[in-house]
Amino acid sequence: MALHTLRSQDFWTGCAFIALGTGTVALSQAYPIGSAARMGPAYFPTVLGLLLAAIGLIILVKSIINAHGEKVARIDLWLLLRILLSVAAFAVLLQPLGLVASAAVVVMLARWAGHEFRLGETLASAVVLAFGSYLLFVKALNQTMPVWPWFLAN
Amino acid sequence: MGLGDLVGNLALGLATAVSLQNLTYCFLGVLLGTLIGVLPGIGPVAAIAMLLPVTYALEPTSALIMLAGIFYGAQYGGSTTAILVNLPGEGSSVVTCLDGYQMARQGRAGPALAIAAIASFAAGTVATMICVLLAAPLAAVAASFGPAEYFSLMLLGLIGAIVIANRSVLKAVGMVIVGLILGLVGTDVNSGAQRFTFGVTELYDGIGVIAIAVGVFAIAEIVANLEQKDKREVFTDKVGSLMPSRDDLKTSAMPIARGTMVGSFLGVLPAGGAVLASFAAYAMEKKVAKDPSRFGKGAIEGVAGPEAANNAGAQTCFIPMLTLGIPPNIVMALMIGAMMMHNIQPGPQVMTKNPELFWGLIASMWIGNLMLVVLNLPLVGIWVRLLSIPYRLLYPAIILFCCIGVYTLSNSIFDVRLIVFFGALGYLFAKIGCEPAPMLLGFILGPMMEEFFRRALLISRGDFIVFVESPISAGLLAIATALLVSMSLPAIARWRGKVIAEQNS
Repeated sequence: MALHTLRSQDFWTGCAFIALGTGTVALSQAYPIGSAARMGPAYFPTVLGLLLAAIGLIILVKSIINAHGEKVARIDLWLLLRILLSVAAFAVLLQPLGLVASAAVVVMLARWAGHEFRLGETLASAVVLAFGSYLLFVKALNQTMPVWPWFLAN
Repeated sequence: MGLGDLVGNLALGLATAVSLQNLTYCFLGVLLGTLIGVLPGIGPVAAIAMLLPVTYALEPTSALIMLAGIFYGAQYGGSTTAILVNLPGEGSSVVTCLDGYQMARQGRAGPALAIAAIASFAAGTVATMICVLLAAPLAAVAASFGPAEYFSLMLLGLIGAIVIANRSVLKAVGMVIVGLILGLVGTDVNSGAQRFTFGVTELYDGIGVIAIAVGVFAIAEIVANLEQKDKREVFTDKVGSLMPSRDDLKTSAMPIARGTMVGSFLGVLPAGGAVLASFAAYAMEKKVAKDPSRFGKGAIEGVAGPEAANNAGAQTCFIPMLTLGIPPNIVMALMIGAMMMHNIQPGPQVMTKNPELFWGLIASMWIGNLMLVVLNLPLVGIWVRLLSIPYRLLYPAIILFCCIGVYTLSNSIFDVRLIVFFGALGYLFAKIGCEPAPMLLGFILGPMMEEFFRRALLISRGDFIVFVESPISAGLLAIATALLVSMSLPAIARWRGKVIAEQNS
């Protein structure tokens, strides 16, 4: 297998589909499969998993035979991770710190991920968005969620 | 159904839509939709996800009217951005960039915006009438559907989505299946078994569609946008006179009519909708033009036709969603999600059980289109100023509002964690050339399909002949098979490759 195969989109698509398909089949063996008339919970996922793996295999084989497929574009994992971190921060911080503080952290982390950080502007937009979302979602739309950090609540 | 019923239905719809409350929400919807649509880099999916919490407290009819307004408002705002910045706010305005932006560069941004508005409004009016005329007969047919017919129809819809919108048929089939598998997560309705829940209580009810949509569309898109530094050239101070010349109007009349027809037709098809409609209309205008070489250099027909088509498609794609409960695109799927949140079971019974909602929504679409014209032409200066907001200020706000929107769906932190997972998945899938749209359609239709598939086989005692016994089901399956087979014929595959390459160029 040549190096260019490893860079082809289809090669990785094939691998991903085979992995997901066989994984689904393996996981669904924990449930009864039943028959066509009385299908068990495993029937549909098993059929789908097999189909997906088969399609993955065809794509994989084709990508190895035909070396001139499209190449995988550059993946900026560091950027992806930082953006995801800002979302994860919301999930982790909302309960203990409340909406206002977590919103500010989300905005600052998101800005840090981009290429123009600008400290002053970032801080200002974090403050505006944090209080703005509090006013919009909690005050105006009556959504219930923790607003202030646990040590300040009550 | 007689003419009297039709008038009665329309009257009921209009009466519902013009109540002060619904007018207000319709206005709010198109206003917020335009606002978000104008901002480049936010599509209607993210817009609806962010604004869903705003609609929770409303009555179902008002909520759906507002969401619909957000959808076609966003579509409309996207064309303004396409003309002035050459950045499509979303898929359906990609074509508008081609000639609209050239018109702007020639100092004719005003007439381009005006023609886009006129085309959209004319098309919206006709398409709304088509909705009124088609809805009742279709719902009547749908009411006679059994599980086998529903299964076959959804299968046809999925295959339509695969054939029409994607480069590689095989990859799209794979992505549909990935979506179908994701749709299985949760409690199995028939046996009560917990499938693929890994003991996580939050997964017992399945994965939330909004969390997936926000992950694979909004978040993955932001990462993709940040990868490329933006080079924008904005024609903010060159809008000039809005009035199109008499000649402009004359040249645009027929393209608007043709675009409306193409768009209305493609909108009804499963997996059709606005994006495909605008591409088809552009190709058609280029075909019938006396001098096709003017296209891409500021031909007004290249704005009028596609704008009419995408707006017509945006209206008629409500028909399968409302009458059959089958979403032809992702936005309609989110609308179905919103209906279910308000305890309305989508399907042909919506028209009989919730007539105010059904006819009110359709009538509101026409009113909303009227509001859009009023909002956009005189106020275009305000929208133009929005375009100067830099992206670095926008995307943190989008991320934050998406998080809050998803969290408030069911006050679940777990749903926010799902965004992280699907954001990564969507980004990586995009890198290996797998589009997320078929996956999401599979995810939405999957549980419904399994349910109908099982029910059909339960009735027939496991005999697969049930799917070809009824003429409707057999016919739908025959079309689906024909579509799939035709894709593998070399001549058609070449033609399709050419068309799709043109779309992407």
